Amino acid sequence: MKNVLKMLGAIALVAIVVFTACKKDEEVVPPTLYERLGGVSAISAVVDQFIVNVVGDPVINAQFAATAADPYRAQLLRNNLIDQICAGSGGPCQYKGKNMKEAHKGMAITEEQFNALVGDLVAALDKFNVPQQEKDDLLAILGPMKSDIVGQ
Amino acid sequence: MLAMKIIRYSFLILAVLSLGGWWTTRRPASPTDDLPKVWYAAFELTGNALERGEALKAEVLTWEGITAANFNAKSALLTVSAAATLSESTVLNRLRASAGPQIQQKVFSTTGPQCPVPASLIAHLPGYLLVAGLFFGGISLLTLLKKSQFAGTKKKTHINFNI
Repeated sequence: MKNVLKMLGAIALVAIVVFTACKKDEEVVPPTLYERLGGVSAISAVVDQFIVNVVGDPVINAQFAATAADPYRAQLLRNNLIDQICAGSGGPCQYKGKNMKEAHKGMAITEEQFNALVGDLVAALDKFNVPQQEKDDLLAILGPMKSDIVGQ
Repeated sequence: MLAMKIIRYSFLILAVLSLGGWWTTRRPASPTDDLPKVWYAAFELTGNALERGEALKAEVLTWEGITAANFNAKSALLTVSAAATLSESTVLNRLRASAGPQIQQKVFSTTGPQCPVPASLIAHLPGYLLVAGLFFGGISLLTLLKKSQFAGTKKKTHINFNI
């Protein structure tokens, strides 16, 4: 009787180990958008391309004149954009800039200018062949900011 | 002695204020801090250079230190971002050597009210406050040590006198 109980106990122990091991396999955490984008270096490459697109874009570049003329401010804008995308996509960054409403106050950005900005970002993402799913996920994070940017 | 006391407390207050200022204005560490610095510039193309815009963009992208480039035919601007190891004049000279003198660096006009304090100064403020806090804190500590040393000497003299 004792041996039977010991045997049942051993079987139960093995079963617990096997089933919990299987459960762990099923609970693999899906990669964050940050990881799918390729981390901070990939984001910085996209942001550099985005800024050069914006500076060359006649619809929007007047808004960036003061920033482009000051290397320090340009660097700050770049780091803030990287931090914002990195933090919004689940990366280990913290956005340290002003909130969108405050940052665009007095700029009177029009719908046309906002669309041009989005177009420049999509062009930058396309240049690095960012897949459609990641593009959509990123634009879904940035899209809700529109009301804080346009018409301020 | 009173003057010394006032100086000591003033330095202590300045140290506390500076370190408090540094604590509230400091920026948390971020992976972006480790990224190499870059600069952005726009070059206006005219004449033959404008016709070669796309080719120039492709050429610029092969240069070491260039991190991104774009040519916009509507604005006739070739825009680049480059690492700090490369200078704007070097890029302009190489562009002129490649496509002729019809290339000018675009200087964006900055009209309207500007902040009188340079952005770089504002950004470096936490660092300045930390240095000031450590400086004033150090002086306060030194004056306190000096004071305790002086008090110890005085005590010893008093004992000797009694003997």
